[in-house]
Amino acid sequence: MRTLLILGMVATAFAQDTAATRADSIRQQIAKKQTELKPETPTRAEQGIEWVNNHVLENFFEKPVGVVLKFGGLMQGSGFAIGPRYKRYDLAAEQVKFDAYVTGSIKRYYAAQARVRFPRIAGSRFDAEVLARRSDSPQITYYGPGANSSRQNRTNYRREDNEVHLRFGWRPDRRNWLISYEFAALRLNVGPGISGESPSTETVFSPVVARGVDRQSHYLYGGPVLRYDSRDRAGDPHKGGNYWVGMTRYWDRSNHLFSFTRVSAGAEYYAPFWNEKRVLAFRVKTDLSYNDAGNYIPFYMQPSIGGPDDVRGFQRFRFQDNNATIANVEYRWEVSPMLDVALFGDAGNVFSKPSYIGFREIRSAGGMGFRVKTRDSVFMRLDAGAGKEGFRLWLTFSNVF
Amino acid sequence: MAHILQRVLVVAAASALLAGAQTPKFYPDDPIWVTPESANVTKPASRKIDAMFDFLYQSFRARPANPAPSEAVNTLGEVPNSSWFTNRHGASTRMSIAQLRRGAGNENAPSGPYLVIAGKTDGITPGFTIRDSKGKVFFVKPDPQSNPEMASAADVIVAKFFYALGYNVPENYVLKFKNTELSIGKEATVRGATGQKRTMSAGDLAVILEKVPRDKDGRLRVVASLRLAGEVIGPFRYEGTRQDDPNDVVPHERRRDLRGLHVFAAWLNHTDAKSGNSLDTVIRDGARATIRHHLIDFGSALGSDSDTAKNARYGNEYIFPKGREALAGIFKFGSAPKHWETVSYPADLAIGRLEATLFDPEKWTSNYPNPAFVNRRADDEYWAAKKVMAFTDDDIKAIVETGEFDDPGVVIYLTRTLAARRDKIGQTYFHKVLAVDDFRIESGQLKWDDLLVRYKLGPSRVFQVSWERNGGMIAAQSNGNAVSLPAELGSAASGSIYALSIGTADGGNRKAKVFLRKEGDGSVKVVGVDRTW
Repeated sequence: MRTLLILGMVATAFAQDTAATRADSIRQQIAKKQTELKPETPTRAEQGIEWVNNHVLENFFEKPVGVVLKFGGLMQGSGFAIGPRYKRYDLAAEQVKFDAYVTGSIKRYYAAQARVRFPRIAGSRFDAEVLARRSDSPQITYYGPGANSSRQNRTNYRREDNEVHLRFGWRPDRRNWLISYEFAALRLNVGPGISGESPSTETVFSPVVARGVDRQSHYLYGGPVLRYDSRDRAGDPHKGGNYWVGMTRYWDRSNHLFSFTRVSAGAEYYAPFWNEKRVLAFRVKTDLSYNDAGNYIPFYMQPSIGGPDDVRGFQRFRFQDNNATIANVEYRWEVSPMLDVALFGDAGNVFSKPSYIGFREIRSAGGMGFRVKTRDSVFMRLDAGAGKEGFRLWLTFSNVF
Repeated sequence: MAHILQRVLVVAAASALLAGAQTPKFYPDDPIWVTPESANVTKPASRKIDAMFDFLYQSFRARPANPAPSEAVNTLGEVPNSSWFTNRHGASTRMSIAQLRRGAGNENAPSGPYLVIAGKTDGITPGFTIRDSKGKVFFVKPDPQSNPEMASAADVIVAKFFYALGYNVPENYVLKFKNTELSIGKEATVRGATGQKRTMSAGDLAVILEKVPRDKDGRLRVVASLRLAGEVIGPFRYEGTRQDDPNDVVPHERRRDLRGLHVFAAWLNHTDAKSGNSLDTVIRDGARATIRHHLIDFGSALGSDSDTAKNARYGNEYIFPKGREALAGIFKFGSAPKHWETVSYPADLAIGRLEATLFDPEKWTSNYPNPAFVNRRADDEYWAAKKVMAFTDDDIKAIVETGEFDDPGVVIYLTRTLAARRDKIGQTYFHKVLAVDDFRIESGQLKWDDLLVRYKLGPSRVFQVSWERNGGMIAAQSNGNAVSLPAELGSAASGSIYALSIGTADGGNRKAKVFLRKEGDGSVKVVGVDRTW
């Protein structure tokens, strides 16, 4: 029986090689395949990637409607933060976008926020946003005021914010120019920090040094911002510039002691060369604060320098005062469309009066960074900065500028 | 006894099998020019190819060390017509200038007013679908605001080149229209940020249109791609075969028409040549159904990268560099620019980044490895180079003009650049193999053309030739690009095969062997060409 089977197979095989013509030979191959047809199915690896795309990325991160995961969303220095986020980007034919999240971090920071955006009003000429937020940041670092604050004076404090924020924007040319106005009500509570690594701020700094450490203040604030943005890609710019100037008026509604006006201005410029595979990126920005007569600027409303986004050789919030100026230059080169490397130099200073703006008491740092990119933006950044106070390594999920 | 008899039968049958299994080198119908795709497709499944998977898998898999020879070729090394490829424009069979300009169609140009029937507001390039006054459906994509004309022209021009080269492509048109010619259909849907379809609103259309550049007359300019005929069943892969298509018997990475596509893609800088930019459709003709394979979406060809000018890296290096290259890239601090980083490009925004000075077809790459491309061999490149070289400057100009550029200087630049890239392709691949072709019998001689001479890429050469018959050599002497047929061929039996080996003194292993067959009517036919290199 077995032999007969073999004979049958031999005969079949023999028959397959009896083509008289090339066309017949091909037809025989087709006829053979016709007996072996099966549905097209992706490979297991492809199915795996597809599953990750459809069930993990889509469901937990990218889904425009429903509950997804929210990473971050807290004040810097909060540590790893995660929480649920509810998104409705489908409202009014996608003309209204709502999202709300609650997020908490390993350092016991948390925030809850709800936001409604109207991204396209009158054909994208206008946009508007309403935001309500509560946040608790229980261990914000504070070293005292001025450029000569001591590292040994590191303290921490708690800041609780309750805020309702309105913003309205107008793009006269629908491209580069943006004129916006924001208005907000902010209830602030400052209290003892919970970090075990440093004392609470009020135990080290008196209310004379750290203005506002002993009082709560409730603000109404608002003001206009004028911006001209010609960057090619905001998330990973290679050419163009971004320039802005804004003025925000802060009215202290509870104590009438901490009212002030802040003028913020900045400029970023990107000079590409070698077919945009190298970029020299420059940034300068300043925050100047003008307190009302007999009023002060509370320490928790002061700008600071130090950290992954400005002077990278220093701890976050390392220097803080009523005013601050920052300058950065980066030389970036592309290793792959998915990876840039950068050498950077940072400098900044803080000062008590706007008239002190200049090059006094500059704190500087330099370093090298790696940027993992998607097609349009920096997705992850690893920057190593070295300054007078040592070496800092920063891993963040946003571009520096 | 019966047992012994059975064994004898098996041995006899096996012997017969071995004798019969030796596929003859030439069949009576060689060389074939049409592939008999005889089987009916019954239930082809629609499929997707995950773009991320394709990118990662192809980027990190091992490259073939020694690819097998191409299949889906005839004995002359040419690609017969099939559902993949149709010989249209070559050195001997030529399309007229009018046909080149027409490309895949031109009889179906969209005519207004236009009804929007679907839209896509998210993604890198938003677009929409229209039905014109004749009821034809077109997929519409705008140019990026940074580079008016660039992507739409690339889509139109390159589709016509690929059509002439032999591929199935959609009919692409430059469409200019005013807002007033556009209205939203009652049943129009849009796939917005949610990914779900919903009724399309005027606001949705406004979002799309505000990103469309206007020409000097205020008209919007887009590329309109006529919906392909047949039922769409998703893209094809550049490797393996479709398991539900009986006619698809040659692994795609071994198809010469897909391997050679590398050369065409290099010429036209079609860096995004991947599965995602292909499409299979089921074509029904009465009871018969077959799958037709198309190339689509050429917005990332020439100097365009669809939504921006071409990234200078593309065409020169893969997106993922090799480990050592990446390390060098990091630790040289960008101080040693690569050749493609310092090359100059024209300032005209409609061109994007396309040049010919630096272009080296051997170094050109798609954005990430394409399995058919990385399996190509010198004979695949040679086949493709012949197709490219068949385009004259006038041919190129005629097709480039269909991009409808406002500035005539753009046409001049693109024509000159593509002609220069064409010549580099000829120079490169006509030197990798012995570029002799168009073998023919004339006046008792076997004649051929030296393509280096035909295309003015080199001086005329002296060829060393010898006849072969049943393993024996017959001395011969070439007379320019010709050699007399052996005297014994006249009395040879029908079906006798003679081979002429052609080489040059300094050609090394670069040789061509031309096979002739004595036909039943006494004539002699060129039936095959083998090349070594």
